[in-house]
Amino acid sequence: MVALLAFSNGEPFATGLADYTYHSPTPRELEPRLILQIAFEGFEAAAILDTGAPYVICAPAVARQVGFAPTGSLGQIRLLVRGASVSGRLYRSTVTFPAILGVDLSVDATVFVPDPDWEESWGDLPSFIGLGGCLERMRFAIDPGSDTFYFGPLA
Amino acid sequence: MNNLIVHCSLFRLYNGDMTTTTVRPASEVPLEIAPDEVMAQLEKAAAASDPYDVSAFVTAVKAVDWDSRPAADFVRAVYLALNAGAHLTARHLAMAGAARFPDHAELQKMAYILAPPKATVSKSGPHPENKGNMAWLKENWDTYRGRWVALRGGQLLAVADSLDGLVAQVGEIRNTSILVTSIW
Repeated sequence: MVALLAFSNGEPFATGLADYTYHSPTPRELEPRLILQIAFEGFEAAAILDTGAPYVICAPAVARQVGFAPTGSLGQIRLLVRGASVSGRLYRSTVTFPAILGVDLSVDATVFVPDPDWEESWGDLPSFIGLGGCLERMRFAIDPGSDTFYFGPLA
Repeated sequence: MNNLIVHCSLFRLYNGDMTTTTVRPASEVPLEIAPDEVMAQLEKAAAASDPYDVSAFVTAVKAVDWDSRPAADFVRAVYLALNAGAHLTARHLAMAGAARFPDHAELQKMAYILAPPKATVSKSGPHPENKGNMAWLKENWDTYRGRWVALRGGQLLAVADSLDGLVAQVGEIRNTSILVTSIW
C-alpha cells in the first residue's frame, strides 16, 4: 500500500490522491466549492464536496445512466437540497475516488437519487459528496497549494 | 408516562457502539400493542419539525420506550426521521430495529442502506490519465457553460446539450476513465 501522507508511526493516512478544482455550486452563489472526479458504479462524473450534505446525492441525469433500480432502495422520501424539497430514494452503492497517484478508494455509501421527474428542474446542478453517508468514515485532506485531494480508509 | 422516559437503550445508541446495544428480543414483545399516543406524538413532532432544527423531533424519539414497540413502528419512525431531516436518528433507529427484529426484511434493508459508510482500498489505480481533467474545467468553464462535456486525460472528447447527447457521441462511459459533467 502506498503511503502518500503518513502518521508519525509510519501508518498511512492517505493511500491515493486526485486533482480538484474550485467553482461555485450555482451561478447565483459566488462561494467556490471543491469539485472532484468520482465514480458511481464505474460511471465517472464531477461532484461537489459538500460537508453539509447528509448523503451522497447523485444528479438525476447521471443516476439514469448508472441505472439505480428502485427495488434496491428505501421508499420515497424528501430531502432538502439547496433549499428545495426534493423527492427521491436512498440506495447503498459504491462510490469510488479514482487516484491519479496511489490506489483508488471505494466507499460503500448511502446515495440519495432524486426521482426521475426532478431531472428537468435539477438543471445543470452536479452531484454532491456528503459528509454523511460517505466522507464521515474515510480520511481526507486537501492541499490548496497544489489543488490536491488526499484520501484513504480508516485503519 | 412512557413517552416521558428517556430510554436507556436508545440513549446508548446515540453515545456509543451501536452493534453492542442490548435489545429485548422481539419474542418478548406483546403481539398486540394497545393503541397509544406514542406514535401519534412522533408523527406530530415530525410534522412540526424544521429541517434546520430537528432537536424537538429527536427529543420525541428519545422519549419513546422502543423496547415495547413493534417492528412496524421502527419502520415508520425511520421514515419520519428521514423526512424530518434527522438523518442520524434514522440510522440509529434502523440499526436498533434491525438488531431487535433480525427476521424483518424491511428493517434489515433499512439498516443496510443507512449504515455508516465503509471505505476500502481498491485494487485499481492509479489512473494518471485522469490528470488534467480538473485543470481543463478550470480553464474552460466559461466557454462551455450550460453544456455537457466528456474529458479524458485533460482532453475534450465531446460536447453536447445533454448527458444523453454526450453518451450518443462517446458510447459506453462506464469503466472507461471518461469524465462526464455538466458545466453549470
